[in-house]
Amino acid sequence: MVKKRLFSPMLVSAMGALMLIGSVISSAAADTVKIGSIWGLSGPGSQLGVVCKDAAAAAAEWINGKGGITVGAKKYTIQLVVEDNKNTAAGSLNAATKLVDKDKVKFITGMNVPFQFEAVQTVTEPNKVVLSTGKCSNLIPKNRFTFSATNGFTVPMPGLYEFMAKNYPAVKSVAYSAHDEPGAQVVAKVGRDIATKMGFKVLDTVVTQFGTKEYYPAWTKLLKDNPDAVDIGISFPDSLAANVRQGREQGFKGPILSCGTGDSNVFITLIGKDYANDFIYAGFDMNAPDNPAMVKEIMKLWEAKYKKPFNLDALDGWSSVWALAQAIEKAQSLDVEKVVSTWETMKTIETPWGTGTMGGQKVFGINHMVLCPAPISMLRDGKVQATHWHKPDM
Amino acid sequence: MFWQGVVNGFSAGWIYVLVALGLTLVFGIMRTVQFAHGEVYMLGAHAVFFACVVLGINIIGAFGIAVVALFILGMLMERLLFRRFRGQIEPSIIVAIGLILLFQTTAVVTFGADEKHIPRFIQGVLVIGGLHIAWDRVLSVIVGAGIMLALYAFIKGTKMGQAMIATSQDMDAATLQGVNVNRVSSVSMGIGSALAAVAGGIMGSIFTVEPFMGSFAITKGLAVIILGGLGSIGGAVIGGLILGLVDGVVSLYSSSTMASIVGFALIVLILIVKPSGLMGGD
Amino acid sequence: MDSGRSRRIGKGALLLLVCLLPIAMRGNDYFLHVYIVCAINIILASSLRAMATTGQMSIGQAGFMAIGAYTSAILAAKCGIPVYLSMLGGGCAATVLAALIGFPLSRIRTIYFVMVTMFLGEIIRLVVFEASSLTGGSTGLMGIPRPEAFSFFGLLQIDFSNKLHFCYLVLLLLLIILLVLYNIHRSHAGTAFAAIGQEESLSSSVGINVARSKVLIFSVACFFTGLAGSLYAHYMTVLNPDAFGTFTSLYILIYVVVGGRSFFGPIAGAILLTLIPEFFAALKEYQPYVFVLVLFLIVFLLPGGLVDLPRRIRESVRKAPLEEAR
Repeated sequence: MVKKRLFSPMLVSAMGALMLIGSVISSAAADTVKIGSIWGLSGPGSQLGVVCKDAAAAAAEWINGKGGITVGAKKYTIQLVVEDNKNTAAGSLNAATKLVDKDKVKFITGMNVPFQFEAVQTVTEPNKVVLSTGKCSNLIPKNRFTFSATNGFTVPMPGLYEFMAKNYPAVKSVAYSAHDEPGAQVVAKVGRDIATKMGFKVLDTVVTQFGTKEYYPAWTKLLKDNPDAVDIGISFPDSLAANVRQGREQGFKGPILSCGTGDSNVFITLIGKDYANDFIYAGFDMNAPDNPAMVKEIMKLWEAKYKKPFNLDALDGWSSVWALAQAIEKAQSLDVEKVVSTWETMKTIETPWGTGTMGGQKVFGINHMVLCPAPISMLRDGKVQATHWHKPDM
Repeated sequence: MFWQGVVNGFSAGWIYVLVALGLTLVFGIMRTVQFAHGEVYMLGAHAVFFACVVLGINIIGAFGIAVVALFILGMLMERLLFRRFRGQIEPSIIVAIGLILLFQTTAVVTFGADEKHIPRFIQGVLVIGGLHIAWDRVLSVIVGAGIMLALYAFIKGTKMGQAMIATSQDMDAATLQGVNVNRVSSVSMGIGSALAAVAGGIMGSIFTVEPFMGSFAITKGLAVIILGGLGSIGGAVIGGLILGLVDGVVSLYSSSTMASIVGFALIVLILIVKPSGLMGGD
Repeated sequence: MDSGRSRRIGKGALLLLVCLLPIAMRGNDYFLHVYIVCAINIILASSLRAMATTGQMSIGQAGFMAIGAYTSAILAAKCGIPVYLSMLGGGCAATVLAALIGFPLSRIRTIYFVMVTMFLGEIIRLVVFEASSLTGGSTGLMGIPRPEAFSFFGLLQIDFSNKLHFCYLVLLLLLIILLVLYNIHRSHAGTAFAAIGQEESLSSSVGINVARSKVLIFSVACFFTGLAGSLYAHYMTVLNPDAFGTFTSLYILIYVVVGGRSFFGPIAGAILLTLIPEFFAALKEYQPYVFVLVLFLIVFLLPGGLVDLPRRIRESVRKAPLEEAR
């Protein structure tokens, strides 16, 4: 009679033993720290969110593989709780609410689009939850618990203009093209300030629609003033690429600047070899032999784990977790106030691009930005002509 | 500057016409509330991308594969989903929304949400009298015009085309005349979907391929065929060009958002005053 | 006890349970969040259903929601008007637009009406985008205040930054709105609306002023939709135009069609379809597949909507004994 056999003593003891082993294993892993990871995994613009989420997971795995975060005598394993904010403010609020109310996290990482982490801040700031953003360009002293794990968009901009002045001495006037999104408008303003300080003639700023890929009308307007150079500001990589290509199609031959990051090869492919000329931007070639050592290591880990090509924008995701982990370890505490006060005074902090430092006091009034060496590259004849590493001072 | 705006608008207009091609047949003539047409266009773009970039087939072959694949998909959609709710607006809308979510999600999990690129057929720019227009946009004008003419010839000249007109005007009368209404519906959705694939592929090479490119297609496509008049191919051309010119010129003096507002306001006005559109006769 | 009375007691008990649920779950902010979102969706769905009775099925309601949301937010955050008034202001702004556009729209036939509402919704969203100095444009509006705190006879302190208190505000408004809609539904006017929906020319010939009725219910529905938008704005404290696109309008339509066209249909539809994404959130990017499955199941197997389910079950149960007798 088969039914009786199911409850045989051997089976019961085997199951009991398994449960015992399981409880031992799980109690050994009892020292975990839950960290939220919010990225836009669906909805328009989600390609960046997905690679950043993957990089964050890879960073957590790498840190855990080295023993986790050491606090005193204990070693804490990072347990990432991933949420999709659907690239909207409402989604970000929902994600943050769930993480703080349901999962009771004290640390959240993720996002580099302003309106998204601003929505999250309405939950994290009152609840004293540390927010380690992939890239936050407008830190305010009021937001005591928010940090930017990488350079803000405007950080490399002085370097961009210096690079242009050196390589294109004939440039006298600069025109601007910026999305109607506040972050992009801030970038354009910073660009105009830098240009004015350096003695360039500042022409009109043309406003484009956030998310569009049709830049013909914008270029038609820009070209009527005959600028020597155009600063196209910040946007998603494919929008930047479309912008550059369409500018060249409309006959613009001068240098085009952008503080956008991303991989050179992606830009060359999207812009097209014949138009990828005289484009100066804040990224680099991920296959260059003289890249920072950490970038190469991350790429190796990525390819082994995910078996898909690497994307430089993923480094924001990696940093959002790594910078936070370093701050916790330096503070030797999981207490939020201690972590915050330690993080904002760290003189050195490791980043994928090399050793960085905490900065931002001068410009934002709060030392919550991880300043890393900023790459500046120029594309010419469909290749990366030069990469220069700018040391930010903020 | 103004004339460059006109040129920009003219080429944009033909892109809208291209996108509205399949919709003219499915929605305009056959009156199926196929809101998921934008997603079909998106799948077509992905099919061209997959065949061309992933499988390495040459671009013409890739388009051929996409056209065949989406023709079959269109016929299946009609047979399995839309046929049951022929003539019923609300259930058709639900089916369409289900398809939108289904196709978008499948595209995201299969291909990834990142933007992809279909190689451009022609590089370079055509410059006439100081006015610039990229060759690939010129190509989209030529292809758009060609397909429109072919569609027109098909509707007016072939038995199947005439059967479609008959079915859309009076289904019972058509059946009495011996028209196999079911087959006509399937074939028309098949052709409409195949045309969407062509539009998607071309747009994917001028811009990019990503799972959410469909919402642009359905919004602009509907605007074009309503402006032009449901069921009128010539109307679709005129509608597309008007919308394109509005976009091209208004965006120079104001913003592209304003241009879209003006365009849609025009549509609303037409729908209130003459719902059958500029060239439609209802 | 006759079955009618026991059914009414049952319904009352259910209502009481629903009202007490927030207090029971008061520590669980996430639960309260879903409760609030659900309640707002019920308002939206019920309003759409009300105007759909006259045959005016709209896929542009997100636009009216946006008008309510942004008007209320701007009045409260930028003009310093008390939130209770600004929310009413939001509803009124939506109604004004509805009344203005309602008459020309009332002449348009079904499928064209659907199209017009879609483009109207898009225009409103684009205007929000464009007027960025007022509305914050694509990045949206932040710092929208919660309704002002007050004390109830010096005994009860009501503070709306507390989710539980806000929950009850939303519940109160929901019940009031449903009561109003129910009364309209059962009134003489409600019958007239249904008649228009069935057979417009016939209704007109029996003396029903079709245009005026349509505009009336359209305006009422848009008032509540605008109010729902205001609630949403003051709850989220952050507004973004993408929340008000055609897709949102389509979702509101789905709530109505999945729930069923009766009065309680949209309530059932809104609850089910708000809860599904939450339950299946663990599926991440695959979650929409569940939604798709539910949509197709309903449209193919249960075309009358969820409210039709009890009847279908009763019918299949009644059929069973007959089959056995064979």
